[in-house]
Amino acid sequence: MVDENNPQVSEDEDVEYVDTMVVEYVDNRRRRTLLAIILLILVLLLVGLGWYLTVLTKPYDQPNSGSLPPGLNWVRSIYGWGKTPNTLLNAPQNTAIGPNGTIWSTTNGTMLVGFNPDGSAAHVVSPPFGPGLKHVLKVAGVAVAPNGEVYVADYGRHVVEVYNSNGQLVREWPTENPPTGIAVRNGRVAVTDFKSITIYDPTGHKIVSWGSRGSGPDQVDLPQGVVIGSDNTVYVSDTQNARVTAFSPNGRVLWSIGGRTPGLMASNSPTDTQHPFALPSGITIDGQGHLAVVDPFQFKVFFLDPAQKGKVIASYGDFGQQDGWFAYPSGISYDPTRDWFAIADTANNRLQIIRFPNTGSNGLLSAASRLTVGPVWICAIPLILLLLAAVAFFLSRRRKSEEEAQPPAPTSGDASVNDVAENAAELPGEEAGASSAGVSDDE
Amino acid sequence: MAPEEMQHEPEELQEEETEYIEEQSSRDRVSTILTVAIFVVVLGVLTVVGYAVVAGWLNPPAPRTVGEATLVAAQAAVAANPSDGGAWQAYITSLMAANQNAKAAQAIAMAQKAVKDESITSVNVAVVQYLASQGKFDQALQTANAAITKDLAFRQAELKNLRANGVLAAESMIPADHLIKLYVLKSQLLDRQKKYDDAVASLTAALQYDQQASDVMTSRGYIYLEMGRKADAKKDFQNALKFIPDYAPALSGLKKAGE
Repeated sequence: MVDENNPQVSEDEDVEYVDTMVVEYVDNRRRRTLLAIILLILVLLLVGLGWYLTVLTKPYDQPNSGSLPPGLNWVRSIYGWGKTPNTLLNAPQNTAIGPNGTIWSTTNGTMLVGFNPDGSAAHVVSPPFGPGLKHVLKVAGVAVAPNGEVYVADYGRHVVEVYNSNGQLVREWPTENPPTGIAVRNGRVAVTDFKSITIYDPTGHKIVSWGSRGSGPDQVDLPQGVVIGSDNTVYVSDTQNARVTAFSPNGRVLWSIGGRTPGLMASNSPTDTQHPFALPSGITIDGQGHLAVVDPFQFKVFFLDPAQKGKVIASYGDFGQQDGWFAYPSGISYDPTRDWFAIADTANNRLQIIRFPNTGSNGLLSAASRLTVGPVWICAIPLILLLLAAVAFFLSRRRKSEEEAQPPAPTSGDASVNDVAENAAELPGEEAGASSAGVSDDE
Repeated sequence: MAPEEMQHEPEELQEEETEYIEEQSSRDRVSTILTVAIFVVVLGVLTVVGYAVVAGWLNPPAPRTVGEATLVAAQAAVAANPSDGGAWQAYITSLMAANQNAKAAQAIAMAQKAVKDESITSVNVAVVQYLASQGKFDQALQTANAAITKDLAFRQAELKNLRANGVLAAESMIPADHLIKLYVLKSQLLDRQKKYDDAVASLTAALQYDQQASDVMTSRGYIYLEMGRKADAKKDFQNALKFIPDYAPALSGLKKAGE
C-alpha cells in the first residue's frame, strides 16, 4: 500500500478500499433489513394462519366448559363418516375401543364403523361383506380384544362374530340364546343373553355358563352390558333388574348394587345411593379400576368402586341435545391410553368422546397421547427437512473452519515473492494489492 | 511522510482489515440467523397448512357438532324433497344459526322458486326471521303481513276444496303451526316498535288457531306487562301454566306480575 515512488496511487487505493467497504456495509445492511422484513411477514402469516385455523375453522356451536354438565369434559362428538344421510350415525348403541385407539360403534343396529381417535373414519363394516360371507343382523354388543380383533354379539343371527382389525370376518360361533352383550379380556369372552352369562375361549369353546332369568340375587334379566375385570371377575349390567352385579370367574355372586324399587321403570332416583339406576346398560372399567355404567333413563354415567362392593362414587351427565349432553345413552367404552370414554349417545345419533375426573392412571402419558391424535406424521416432514438443513449448515461451517485453520502465508523475511503472490491471489482485489505492496516494501 | 510513519501504516491497515473482517463476520452471522429463522418459519407455515389440509380442518368430512349435524340433515332433506317448504325452512334456519347468512339468502331465493304450494308459509317464516336477523325490521314486518294474508287465502281455498269434496271441514282441522309462528314473529316486530296494541292483537289472532299455546299466552302476558296491564298479564301466565305447569317463562312472568 505504501509506495514511496508514487504516494498518489496508494491514497487512491485506500479510497477505493474504503468505498468498497462502505458499499459492502450498505449492501449487507440492506440484505439484513430485507431478511428481517421477510421474517416478520412470515411470522405474522404463521400467527394469522394459526388464528384462522383455530378460530374460524372451529364449529360455531362448539361447547365450552361453562355450558357443560358439571365434571364433564367434552372432547369431541362423532356424527358419522360423511355428510349424506346414509353416512351419518343412526342410533348407535354400543361402542368399543381397540388397542390402537380405534373407536368401534354400531349404527342402524346392523353396521359397524371404526373411527380413528381424531374422529375420522377408519373402517366401515356393512353388509354385504363378500361372496359367501354372512352379515350382521342385529348388533347387540361389541368388544375389542388386545390383538385388535373385534367381537360382535349378533342378536339377530344368535352368533358371536369375530372381525380382524381391518373389519374382515375371521370366525364366528353360535350361541345358545340371542346374545345381548359381550366382553373380551385375558383370553376369555363373556357373552350375556336374556337369562345367563357364558364364558368362551377366543375360538368359541365354552368354558363355563351360569344364570337364570329372574330378579333373585343370582339371576339376571336381559343384561345389556358386561365387562371382565383384571382378576377375571365378571361385572354385569343387569338391565331389567336395574342393578350391577359382580360374579366370580365361575359365576358366584360377589356383590350387587341397585335393584328395582316399586313403581315405574324409571322411578329410581340417581341420587339414591342404594338404587341409583333406572336402566343400566353399557359398562366398562376405567384406568383406576372403577366401573363406569351408562344409564339411558338417568342420562348419566355412574362410577362404582368394586373394592367397596359397587358403591357409587360419582355420576355425571344430564339430558340435552347439545354436545356434551345425553339423550338415552346406552353404550360406553374406555381408552386407557388417552384416558377418555366413548359414549354411544343413542337418541342424539352420535358418539361422544368425554373425559371425567380421576379416571386415568397415567396422567402425563395420557395427555401426550391425546395431543398426538390426528395426522401428526405430517410434522415429521419439516422436522426431517430441518434436520437435513442443520446437517448441511454444520458441514459447511466445518469445512470453512478447516480452511481458515490452515497456516497463514508468510508475509516477511523468508517468504519468496512467488509465495506471497500466491497468497495474495487468494485474497480479494484490494487486500491482495495491499499485501503485495507490503512485501515490496520489505524487500 | 517519515519512514517511521511509513513502517507503521501497514500494521494499522492490517488492524483495520481485521476489524472489518470481524465486523463482516458478525454481520454474516446475523444474516445467517435470519435466514435460518425464515427457513424454520416457512417450514412452520407449511406444516400448519399441511396438517390442516390432511386433518380436514378446512372442509370437515363429517359434522362435528350438533349444529353442523342439523345443517347436514336439513340440507339432505331439501335435496330429497326440494318442493317441501318445511325442509327449506329448517335448512335456512340452520344456515342462519351457523352464521352463513349469504348462503341463507341464496337458499331463500331458491326456496321461493322451488316451493309452489301452501308450504311456502314455512319459507316465509324463515324469510321474516332472516330479515329480522339482518336488522331489516320494517321489511320483515311487511313480509310477515303479506305471508299471513297469503296463508289465510290458502286456508280458505283449502277449506272450500274440502267442503266441495263433501268433507265437513272446520278451519281448525287445517294445521296452523306456521301461521301461528308468523303471528308471533309479527308481534315481536310490533313490540319492538312499541306498538303494543297491535302486538297483542297479533298474538290474540294466533291464539284463535291454538288456544292451548302456552308460549303464545306467555308472550302476550309479557306485552301486557310492558303496557302496565298486570291483571291481564297475570291471567295469561296463569292460563299458560294450566297447560304446562312448570313452564319457566310463565312462572317468571307471574312473579313479575305479582310484584
